[in-house]
Parts: sequence; structure tokens; C-alpha cells
Amino acid sequence: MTAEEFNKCVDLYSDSIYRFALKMLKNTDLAMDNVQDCFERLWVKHREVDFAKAKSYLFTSAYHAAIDSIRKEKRKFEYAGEAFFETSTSNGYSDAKEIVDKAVEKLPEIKKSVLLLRDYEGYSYEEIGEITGLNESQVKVYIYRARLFLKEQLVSIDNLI
Amino acid sequence: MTINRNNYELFIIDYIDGRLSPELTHELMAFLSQNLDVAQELDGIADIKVTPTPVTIPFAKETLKRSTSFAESSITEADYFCIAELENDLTAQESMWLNELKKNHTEIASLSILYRKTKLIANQSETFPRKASLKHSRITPTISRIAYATASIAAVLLIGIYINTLLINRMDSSNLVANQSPTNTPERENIQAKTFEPTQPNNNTVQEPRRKPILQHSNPTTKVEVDLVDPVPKITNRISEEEIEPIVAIEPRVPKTVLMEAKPNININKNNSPTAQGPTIAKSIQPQVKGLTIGDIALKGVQKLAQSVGINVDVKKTDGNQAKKIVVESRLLAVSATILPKEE
Repeated sequence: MTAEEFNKCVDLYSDSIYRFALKMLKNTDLAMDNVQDCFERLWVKHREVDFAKAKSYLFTSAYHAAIDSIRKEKRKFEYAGEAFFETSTSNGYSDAKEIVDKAVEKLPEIKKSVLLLRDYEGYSYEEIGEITGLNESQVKVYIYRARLFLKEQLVSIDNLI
Repeated sequence: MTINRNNYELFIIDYIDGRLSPELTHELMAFLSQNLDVAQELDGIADIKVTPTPVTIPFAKETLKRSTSFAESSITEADYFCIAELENDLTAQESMWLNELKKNHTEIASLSILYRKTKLIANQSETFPRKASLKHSRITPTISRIAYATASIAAVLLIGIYINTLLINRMDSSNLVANQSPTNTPERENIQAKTFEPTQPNNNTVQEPRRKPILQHSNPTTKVEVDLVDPVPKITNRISEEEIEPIVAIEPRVPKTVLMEAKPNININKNNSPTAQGPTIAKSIQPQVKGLTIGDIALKGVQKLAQSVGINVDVKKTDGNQAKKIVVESRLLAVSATILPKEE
């Protein structure tokens, strides 16, 4: 990959990776660091990575970095006796999208990441499998379970209202 | 008898586990009745049992399970088809069947609508703020890097030489100021250097070679006649300078000699050399009068500069005082190549 192609990757994918990282980490600073690290890694390997594979490479890096960050932060805050990824206790939901967004935060990391990759980026099961290191069937099951969970959250809120 | 005091433990364990045959059980009982101390030792051993303490796993066991089957998960058929519809996983036939179901069962239709709401939509307004910092201008190839490094080194050397030149000029001019009387102006000194007034008791005549700045300012076409000590090693020059100064102190003799010799050359007679300095010094003095051009001065300047930078410039000359061969030796290169002490 040339420097021009690398810069094109920045234009094309930095926003989507940032959104993905932000959704996973729920912290703008961590998300920005994640994006920075991903592109740094890509630059180091830019001679080996093909332009066509750059997006997949970036998302793979972002996924693994996000999982690492989550585990690290969880451990840190567990020691401090605080809940790091606290979900909002407010019930002032305005619409289904907000409920779903809140519900996504409650999903386990793997389910959340496969669902984000599926919905945000439109990746196929196979591509998500390559990124996350899961097989196609596992990805499918995770997505289905995640959707079921989100549906249950929607239903429970509907019942509450 | 099979059971004795050396092997009874094996039979005891089997007896406790209930794996001992009736014959051996009978034999074991007979043994224990004969050996009461062993029977006492084993009394109640069968009641000792380690039972596991109940431990609850701190996380849901279900999260550890890896299953690719929907039957094992809590997804019902209706859920499955609604999600599959959303994920475009349905075949044409399945899709038709689901549509039929939706028409006939409103709860399936509402379930399908509910699942559609679980589709995540990215917020496009969330953009990465530091995009510009991620970009790289261009990849610098190895040759370019080498070229940049060479250019940088050359620039540093040039600056060093320039600074050195400035310092030398300043030092020379300060030397002149120290040697001159307060009434002497540079112009007058210059005139003295050109004319070599022998009757004047001033000792500037002998120290003329050190007046480079003045000579450099003169017209390049004019030839200046000065005393020139052999232009080789620095130490020799220093000795000669030290030696020259006392010669000047012998005032009555030098002018005489000069007067006897035809102008503009100055020949100091060997016999007139100072007796106080001894014969060896007199030998080493032997000042010669040579025609010094601007080129010679420049050459000496280059030699001095090169020495200060760490490069030896050796110029071999012919009789006509023309450069024949120039040998340049860099101390830096010598050090980096061999790490041996520099050869003098």
C-alpha cells in the first residue's frame, strides 16, 4: 500500500472505526486512542497490507484493541471498587432507537462487536468471522442472540410503559 | 496365607471399596483377629470420606457454552424466522412461508416489526476529529534518506567551517592589535608590510607572516614580499615564531644586513644570528624570502581550516611553488574505518 492509499484509508475508514470503537468503549478518549493505534499499526505494516484488505485489517485491530481496553479498564475499576461501564439507570426513553442503543451497551463484548460490524459496516458472517476470529456459525448465533436480547429489552420497556 | 503385615493395606483398601472377594475377605478377617494392633489401627477408617463442598460459579454457566445450534439457545422458530428475514438469511420459499404467517398471525407480524427496530443505525455525525494527524505525507525511500543525511552532514560541516573562519579572523586581528603600538593604524601597518623599512627599529618585519587579514584585504594582483617560514607542521611554525622574536631584539645587526642586501629581499646572515640562542636555533631560523601570492595565502588558510575541522590537507609543491598533489585525510573517516590512532 502506498502513502496515498494509506491516506485514502484514513479518509474512508477512520470515521467508521471511530464509531465502532466509541460504541464499544463508550469513551471518546479511549476511542480516539484506539483509532490512532489502529492506523499506526497499519502504517507500520503498510508495505505488507494490500489496500483492498486494509478495512478488514483496521477493523480487526480495532476489535482486538477494544476488547483489550475493556478488559483492562474493567480490571482497573474492579480494583477501585467502581463500575466502569455503568449503564444509565434513567428510564426516560424517547424512542426505540434510544432503547436499542442503551440495550446494546448491556450486551457482552463479543455479541456487541459482531452486531456492530454487521449493522454499522454491513459485513458478512464470514468477514466478521475473520475479524473476530470466530467461525461463521458462531457469528450467526451471536448475532441472532444479540437481536433476541435487544427485542426482549424493547418488549420489557414497552410493557413498563 | 496371602495376607501378612507387609501387604495387608492393599487388601484393606479393596475391602473398604467393596472389591474384595469373599475368600479374601474371610482371610482378611482372620488376619485382623490375629493382629489386634492392626485391627485397632484400622478401626473406623471406612467412615472417613472426603466430600466436595458446594461451590457456586460466580458467573452464568451459560456464557461458557459454545453452540452453533439454535435449538439449544432460547430462540424460537418465530424469532428465528423474523431475525433471518432481517438478516436476509431466508430462502425464497421460507420468505413466502413467513409472509403467509404474518398475514394470518398478527403477533408474528408485530414480532417482525419489533426485530426490525433492533437494527442498529450508525450516527453519521460522529466523525473522527483528528483525521489530519493520521495522514502521512509520503514514503521516503532509502536513497532519499541517505541524500538527506548527506546534505545535513554537509550543511553542518559548512557551518562549522564558516564559524571557524570567523574565529580565526577574530583571533588574528586581536593578535595584531596586541602587537601593534596604539598609534599604528592598519593602513600604516599595511604600508610597512609592503615597503619593509629596514631602518625602523620596529620588529614588524619579522612577524609579517602572521598578518593574514591585512594581506587578504590588499589588492589581489599585487605581490607582497614577506618572510616566509617553511609552511609545514604547526609545531615548527610555533618554534620559529618563538625564535624569531629574539632575533628582532638584536636591532643593530638586522638592519645592517638588510641594508647590505639588495632590497626587497631580507636575508639574515647566519653569522649575525644571536649568540644567546645558540647554533641550533640559528640553523632552524634561516628565513627565506619568497614571493607569496594570494593563492598561497588562500592555500594556507584552507590548510588551517581543514586542520581545525579534523582534516589534514597536505600539499606537495614543486620548485615553482605550484601545487602538484593534494592529499586530504579525514580524521572522522579514519576513526570510523579502523579505530586505530591516526598516523602522523
